Amino acid sequence: MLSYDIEIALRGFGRDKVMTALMVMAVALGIGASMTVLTVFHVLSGDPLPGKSQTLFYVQVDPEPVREYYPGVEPASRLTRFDADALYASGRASRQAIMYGGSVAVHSPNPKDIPFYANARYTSPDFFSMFETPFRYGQAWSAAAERDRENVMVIGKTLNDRLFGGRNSVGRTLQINDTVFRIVGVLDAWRPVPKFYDLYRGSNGQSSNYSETEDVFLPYSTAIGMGLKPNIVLCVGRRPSGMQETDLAAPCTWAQLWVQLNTPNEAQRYHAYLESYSDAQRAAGRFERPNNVRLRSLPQYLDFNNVVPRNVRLQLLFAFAFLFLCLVNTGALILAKFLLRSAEIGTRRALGASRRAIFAQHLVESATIGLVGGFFGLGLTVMGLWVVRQQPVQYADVVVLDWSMLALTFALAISSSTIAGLLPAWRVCRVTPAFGFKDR
Amino acid sequence: MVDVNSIVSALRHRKIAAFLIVVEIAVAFAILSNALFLIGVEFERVTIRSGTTESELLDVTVAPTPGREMVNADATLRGDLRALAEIAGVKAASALNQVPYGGGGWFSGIALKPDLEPIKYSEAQEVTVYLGDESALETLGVRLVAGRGFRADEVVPFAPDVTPPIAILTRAAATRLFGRSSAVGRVIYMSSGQGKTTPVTVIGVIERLLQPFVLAGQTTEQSYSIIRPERPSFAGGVHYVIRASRTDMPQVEREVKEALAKSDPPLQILSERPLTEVKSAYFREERSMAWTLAIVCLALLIVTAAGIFGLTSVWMRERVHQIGIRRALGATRGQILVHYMLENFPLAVGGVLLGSALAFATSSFLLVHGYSSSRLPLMYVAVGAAILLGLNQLAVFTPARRAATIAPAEATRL
Repeated sequence: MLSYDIEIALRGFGRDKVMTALMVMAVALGIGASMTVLTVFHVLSGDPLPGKSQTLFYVQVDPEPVREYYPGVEPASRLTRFDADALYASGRASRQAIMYGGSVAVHSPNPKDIPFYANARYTSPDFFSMFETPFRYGQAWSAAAERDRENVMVIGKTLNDRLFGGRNSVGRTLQINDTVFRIVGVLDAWRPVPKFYDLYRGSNGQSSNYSETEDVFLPYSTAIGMGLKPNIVLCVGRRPSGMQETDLAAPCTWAQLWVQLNTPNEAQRYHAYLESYSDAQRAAGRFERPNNVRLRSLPQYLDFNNVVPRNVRLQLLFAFAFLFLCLVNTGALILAKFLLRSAEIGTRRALGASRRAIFAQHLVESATIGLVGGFFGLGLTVMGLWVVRQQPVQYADVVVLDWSMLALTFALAISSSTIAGLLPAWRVCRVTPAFGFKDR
Repeated sequence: MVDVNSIVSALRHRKIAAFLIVVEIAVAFAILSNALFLIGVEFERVTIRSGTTESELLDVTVAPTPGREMVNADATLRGDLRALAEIAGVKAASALNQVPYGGGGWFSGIALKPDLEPIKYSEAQEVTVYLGDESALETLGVRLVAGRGFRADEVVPFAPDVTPPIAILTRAAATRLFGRSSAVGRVIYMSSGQGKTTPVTVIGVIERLLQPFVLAGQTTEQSYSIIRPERPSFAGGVHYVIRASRTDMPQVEREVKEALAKSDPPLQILSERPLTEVKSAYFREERSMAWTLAIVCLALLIVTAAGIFGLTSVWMRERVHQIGIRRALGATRGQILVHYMLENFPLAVGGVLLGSALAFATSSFLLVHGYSSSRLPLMYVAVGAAILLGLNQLAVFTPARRAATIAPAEATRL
C-alpha cells in the first residue's frame, strides 16, 4: 500500500512540469542561499579544540585606575607584565601558557637573501601541548630552557618550507634580529579557525581573528630579555618618561595568560585565587578598582569576542528569511497544484482511498520536491562556497562543505518542503468524495 | 469596467492560497526593503571621498631593513623623497605617517584652552593627526580653502613629546572648534603627552582629508583631521606618497622601486599600491556584503514572481470554462485581461501593507542588535513597494493574456 502511495506521489511529481520546475527552483534557491551562509557560519563558529576547549581558560584582572569604573565593566583584555609574570610564577594551574605577539626580523641562512619580517609569538612551552599544535619535527623547548632564557625556537611549516625546503631543520640555527637561535621544533600545517588563542578587535572593527598562525615561536622569557615589543599595547596609566612599555613596572597591558583547569572545581579554585591576588594587589597599592576578574573558558571567550563576523551573522539572517519565503512560495504552489486535481482526488476518495492515504501521498510528493530541490540546492551551495573562497577575506581558504553540512542540506530541503506541503495536503484530503462528478 | 464583486468572490473561494500569497509578498517586501537599505548604507560608505586626488596617488610603505643600522633616518628619508621627486612624471612626493583608507591611525585630543583636559571627543569626532612636509598638500591634492601650507623651514623630523607650533586643520575640524569664524591665526592646544598641552597656531584650512578609516555612518564632510609639519619616523611607519598622472603611473611605479633600491641604507618596501587599490581593499567587506544582499534580492524577486505566476496560471486553468462563458456573454478580450490583471492586486496591496509592519519590525531588530545604525528610511519602503507591486503585475501578465485569448467556444466544451 505504501509503495502504491509513493508511486502515485512520484507520478504526481512528474505532472505539471512547469509548476514542478518552479517549486524545485524555489527550494533549490532557498537551500543554496541558506546552506552557503550556514556553512560559512559553521566553519567560523567551530570549536577549535573539541573535547578540550572547556578546560582552557583566559585570565583577566583589572589594573586600571578607579576613574571610569562601574560595576560589571569589562577589565582590560590583556595583562600587565607584572600581573602576567606573577600569575604565571604562582603555577596554580596544571598547565599555563603566558604569551604575547610581535614581529621579528628573520635572517635567512642563505646570506644572499634579504632579511624579512615574520609574525612571532613569545610564549611558554605549555602553549604547544595546551593548544595541541601538531609537530612535524622535534618538539617544544623545555621548561628549563624557558627558565634559563635560552635562545631556542619553534618554527612554523611555512617558514620551514621557505628556508629549509621542508626538510628537518631541528638543530639548525637562525638569526632572529641580532641573536642566533637554535631550532628545536618544526610545526606541521596548523591553521586553527578562528585563531582562538589571541582574539583582537580594533576600534574600527578590523580584526585578525582568522589570520594564519605565527611562523616563529620564541620562549617568553627570552623575548622579554631581548626587549622584543608586543604588537598590541594598551597603557592604562601614566608611564614615567624613559620607561619602556615592556618594563616590569609599566602600567601597560599586552601580555596574555591561558591556563588549563581540568575540572570545574579547579576552575573555581583558580577564580578564588584571582580574587585573592587582586585583594593583595590592592592592598599593595597597585590596583585601585574593586576586584574585577574574568576567567572565561575558551568557548565563552570566543562567544564574548563575537568571533563570527557581524556580516556573516547578518547574511545568515537574510538567508534564512529568504528560505522561509521560498517555503511559503512552495507551499502556495503545491496547494495550487494539488487543487488542480481535486476531481481526481474526489474520485479516488469515492473509490475508497482513505483521507490518511491521500494526505500521505501528497506529503510524499512534497518531500520529493524537497529531495530534488535539495540536489540543485547542493549544486548552488557548492557554487556559492566557491564564490566565497574567491573573496579576499581571511577565512576564504577554510570554507569547505563537510559531511555534516552535506547531510544538513538534504535534511533541511526535505523537511522544509514537507512543512510547506502540510497545509496543502491537509486541504486536499478534505476534498469531498466524488467532488469531481458534482462539478461537471 | 472592472467587476469588483467578481474579484472579491474569486478570492473568497481561494482563502488559503490568497493567504499564502499575502504572506509571501509581505515577507518578500520586508526582506527586500531592508536589504536595499543595507545595500544603500554600504554604497554610501564605499563612495565616501577622501579629499585627495585618489586616482593619481601611489602609496609605498617602507620599513628599515633588519640589521642595517640607520645612522640618520631623517637624512635617508629626505634623500628618498628627493630621488622620488626627480622621477619623470612625478608631480610631487611626500612622506606621511598614514594615508586615507590605510586602516588604524594616530589620534590626539585638541582643546581651545591650555588648562583643560584635552577634549575627549566621542570616537566619531576624534581628530586624526597627519604628519607631512611642505609638499604634502600638493602631493595629496587636497584643496586649501584658507591660509597657507607649510614652508620647508617649518618642517621638522618627528620627535616624541614634541609638538610643532603650527598646524593645518580640515574644514570640518575648524568649524567644530571655531564655528563660522575663520580658524586661521587662532590657537588650539594639543596634548603632547605627560598630561601637558602645547599651543598650536592654525595657519591653514583644507577642504577635507579623511582619516585612515571610515566610521559607521560617517559622511564625506565629517573628516576631522589635522596636519602637523613633521616628517614621520620609521618607528611609527612611513608612507611615501607619490602623485603622478594616471597615464604616467605604470612607468612611475617601476621607477619608484629602482629609486628606493638605491636608498642608503636600503629600505624594505612593504607594499606599493595605488591609493585606489588601498581603498578597494579597505572596502572589500562592504562590497562582498552588498553583493550578497543584491544576490538575495534578485533570487527573492525571481522566487516571488515564479510563485505569483504559478498560482495565477493555475487559477486561470481552473476557470477556462467560466472565462469562455463570460466571453460568450459579451465580455471583450480587453475586459478579461484587465479583470485578471487586477484580480490579485488587492492581495499584493495587502502583502505590502502587512510587509510594511514586518519591514519596520525587522529594521528595529537590526538596529537593536547593532546590524544597522539607523531606522529604515521611508524611501526604501516606497521603492520596495513599487518593485513588488510592479513585479506582481509583471508575473500576472502572461497568464492574464492567455486568459484573454480563450475563445467563447470554450464555454460549450466540458
